[in-house]
Amino acid sequence: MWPPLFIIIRVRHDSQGVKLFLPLPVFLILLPLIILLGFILIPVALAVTIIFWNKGWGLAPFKAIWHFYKLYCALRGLLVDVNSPRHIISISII
Amino acid sequence: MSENTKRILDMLAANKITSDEAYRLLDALKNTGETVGETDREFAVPKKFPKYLRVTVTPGENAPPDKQDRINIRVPISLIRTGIKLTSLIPPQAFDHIDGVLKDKGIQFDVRNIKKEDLNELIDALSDMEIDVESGHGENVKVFVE
Repeated sequence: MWPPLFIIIRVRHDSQGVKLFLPLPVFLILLPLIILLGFILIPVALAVTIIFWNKGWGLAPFKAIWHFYKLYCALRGLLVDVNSPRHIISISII
Repeated sequence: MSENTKRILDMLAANKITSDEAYRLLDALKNTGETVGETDREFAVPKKFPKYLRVTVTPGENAPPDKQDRINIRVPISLIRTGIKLTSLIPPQAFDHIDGVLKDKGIQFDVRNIKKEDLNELIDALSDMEIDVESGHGENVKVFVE
């Protein structure tokens, strides 16, 4: 299961437009910072887990990390293309 | 459907055998290695598993200038499946609360009856879905799976 590689956003209104080609792995640069934040927040996460354990929500935040990663990977192939005479909006995730 | 299976079903339809006897005969066929449809497997159309849900809107040939919008949406089916799987984050205690709220609104429905296997089957069945609508303005709206 691989995450998407690029997101292409194109917005045009009349003669003005913006086209954005963004390689998504560029966010991997932030990964060390995210890991560091994760380590710092571990005591908070454990406290929240213990507090909400009886209500059944204890492990949900940890499980959610994996589920949201799978959701992010599933975005590959998403295409939204709206084309009118005056406007173009196109979002494509490859 | 194999010949023997068809014969058994025809006899059942003609009331020559009971449903119990039909069941036993079909079971015996399975045990002899001939399952329902096995002999026809070579002629079976391979089941296509849907990959994308597509929604397209195209203007008609005589559409007025303000109705010339074209819309093309493609949603990966895996995104829908993964979204459904997010419900596994909901703890069982929360389902009781949801059922209580639904009952207060007069809806007698147990949320736990929605099973992941049923939803997967529903998504797989989408491979045969095709919706084609032509509006009064000539716009053509299609919803299909590919």
